Amino acid sequence: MSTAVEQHIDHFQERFVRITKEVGRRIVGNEDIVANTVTALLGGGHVLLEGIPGVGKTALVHTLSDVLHLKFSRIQFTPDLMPADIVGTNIVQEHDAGGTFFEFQPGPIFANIVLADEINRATPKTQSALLEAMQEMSVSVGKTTYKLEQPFLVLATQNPLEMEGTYPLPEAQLDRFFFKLKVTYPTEAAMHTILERTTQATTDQVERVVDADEILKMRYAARLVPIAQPVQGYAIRLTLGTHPTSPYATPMIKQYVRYGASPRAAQAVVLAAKIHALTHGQAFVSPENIRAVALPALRHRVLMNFEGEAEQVDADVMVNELLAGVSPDA
Amino acid sequence: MMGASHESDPTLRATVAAIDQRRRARAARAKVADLAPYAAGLGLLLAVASRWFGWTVGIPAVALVVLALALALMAWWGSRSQPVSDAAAASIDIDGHLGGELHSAHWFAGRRSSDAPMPDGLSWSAYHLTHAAKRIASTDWSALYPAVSASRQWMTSGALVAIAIVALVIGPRSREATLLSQGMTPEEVEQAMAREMVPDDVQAKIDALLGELGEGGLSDAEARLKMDELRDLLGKLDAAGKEAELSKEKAGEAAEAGGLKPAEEAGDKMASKAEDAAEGNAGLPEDVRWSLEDLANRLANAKENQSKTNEKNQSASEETGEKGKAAEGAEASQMAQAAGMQMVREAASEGAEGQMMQGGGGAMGGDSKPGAGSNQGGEGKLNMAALGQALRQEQIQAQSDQLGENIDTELRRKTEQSQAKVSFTRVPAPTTFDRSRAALPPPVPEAHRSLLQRYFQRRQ
Repeated sequence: MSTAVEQHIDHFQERFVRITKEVGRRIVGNEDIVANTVTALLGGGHVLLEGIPGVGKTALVHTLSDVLHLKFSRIQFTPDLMPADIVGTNIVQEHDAGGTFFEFQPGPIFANIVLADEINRATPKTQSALLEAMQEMSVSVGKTTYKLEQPFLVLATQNPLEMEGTYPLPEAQLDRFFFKLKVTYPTEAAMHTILERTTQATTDQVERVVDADEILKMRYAARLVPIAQPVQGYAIRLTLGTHPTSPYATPMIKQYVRYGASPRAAQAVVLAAKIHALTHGQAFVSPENIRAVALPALRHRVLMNFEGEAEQVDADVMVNELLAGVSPDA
Repeated sequence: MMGASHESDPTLRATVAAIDQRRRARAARAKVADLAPYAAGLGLLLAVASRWFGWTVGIPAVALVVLALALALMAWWGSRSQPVSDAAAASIDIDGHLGGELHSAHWFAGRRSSDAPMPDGLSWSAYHLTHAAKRIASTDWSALYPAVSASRQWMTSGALVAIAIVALVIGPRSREATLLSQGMTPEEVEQAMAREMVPDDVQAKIDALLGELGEGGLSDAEARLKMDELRDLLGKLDAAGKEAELSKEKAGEAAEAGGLKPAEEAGDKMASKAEDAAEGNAGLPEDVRWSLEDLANRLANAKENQSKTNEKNQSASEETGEKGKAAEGAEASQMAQAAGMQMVREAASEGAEGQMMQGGGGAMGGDSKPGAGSNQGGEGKLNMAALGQALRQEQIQAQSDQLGENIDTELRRKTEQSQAKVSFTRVPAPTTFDRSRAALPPPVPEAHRSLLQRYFQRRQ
């Protein structure tokens, strides 16, 4: 007879696998991107997807919203986009009996899954409109604060190649993303599958696997997973190690990094590690779980100095070097 | 989070402690097994040395026992019961391929749980501990940490110890140790060893030379040549530094047999000076000093004829009015030349000084003539021959000079070889302006220009 904990683990594992499988019916390859996106959703965070055009970033978000049976909205970020276009605005309405009043017209941010496409094309003012929504899960318009419906997930995409006329996300906003995922170019075999699926008369329909309540339950279950202090210490050392002045910093970090990850990064690492442990049927967090999620959780929080940017040093190299250099044992 | 889900789990910690003890004991035993042959080898070396040098048997025996005890202590120390550290738990976890479960559970087992219980009363951490305990119990730790099989090391160690015991009983012994074991005193052993070391033909030559010197019928130059020959022979006796001691002993025996006592009674001035010079070399090695003293004694007997020559030299110097340091220098030169290496060097330098100060035949002096301490042709030639020999010796010895052994500094040696020189380097003060320091920095590469601009734009 299985215990309640075992049932939770099995249920979580089964749902997680079903979500990723359903998404995989439409999205070819990039299984780790799909798994990490779902992890961020279950961790209550947001995801920054980076990749060249046409690799399926937007398709992934669309598919995810279909599978999760959640309200979905898409915002195409452009330089002339205004904050009110995102959060909504008060508009004047007329009573039937005469007279006028202001009525709040919610923007596209009022959804469960928000696709912020090409987020770096909007001005910093518009980008910052997302800040409160992403962190506080609420929107303030005028004197009124509106709570966003849970679960709330922002999936932002950005193109790393076209930098002309873009506004790179400020560090404060980058830090609000749970994961930064790099969507890579598909392999030759994956390309075959993509073409077969997308150039025929019929397209695969995905099934709605979980709803919002189910996701919230899964979020709660993930937070129940115990983590031993030595394992937690490993996550802390990894986070501290991204700072050039830290004793855990590697020589490359000392040379090329200006600022490292914030405590919010450590929260993301531990929470993601708990979800990773559950998806592998564990009731505990191991250093291996920490290692599995450290790269997407830390890579966008490592800020290069001028030397690092001039030499185009990749933050992934830094984090991987850190993972190789910092021992799980204190 | 602080609830009352479960207390600490001493059972799981005890299990992990037992596994850790097994792991450490295995590592310690493997280390001891690796070290045992070296310890046995050391014991064997001590046993062989003890046997060879005639030490007491207790030394290698005690050493072997101490080494065995040290190894046993090392094994016990490594396998003693002690609290399991977090790193040790992590290491066991890795060895057992438990995916971090043991590591995590070990930490949770040491403290009270703080998470909320599930509907069935079992909290997540309690479930974690239960699950971990099951996995730990199902792991075959004896297969993971099997007993150390180091039969080859132990057999090697045993064989070495056995050889050591055998070597203590029937191993080879040095001649000295053999003589000591026959009940001889150390002095007797030393004499016997010295006697055995001198070849018969060398001994015969030495006896013959000492006999000729003792008779006193040789001319001054011949006496010197004989002395040189004697020294060469003595030098060949023992390259290891015992030649001086041995020559002293042999010379003493020869003196007793050849009747050199009259020479001691003569006690002329030169002999006493030679002795003084030898004593002045207190800083020399003991064997060399003994050799010098011995040669000084022999010289005292062989210089009866030479003293006459010295008297003539002295009277000749009085005629020129230049008696004093020059004559004494020449005199000392002759003595030192006969007295040994160190003496020869000092006397040679002083002799040169004396030679320069001597006057010619006239009342006002004049050009110096060849000869150390004398301006009389015949005697001068003899002295010149001796001086030439001394200089040749010095040249040979100077070529074998070793810094730090027989000379004090490199400077002195260079001076002796006329290679000393004084030089200095003048560094001019920087009086000109270096325009390269005011040059513009290199331009930013085109590849970095856009990055540079963006870098500063972002911070606006």
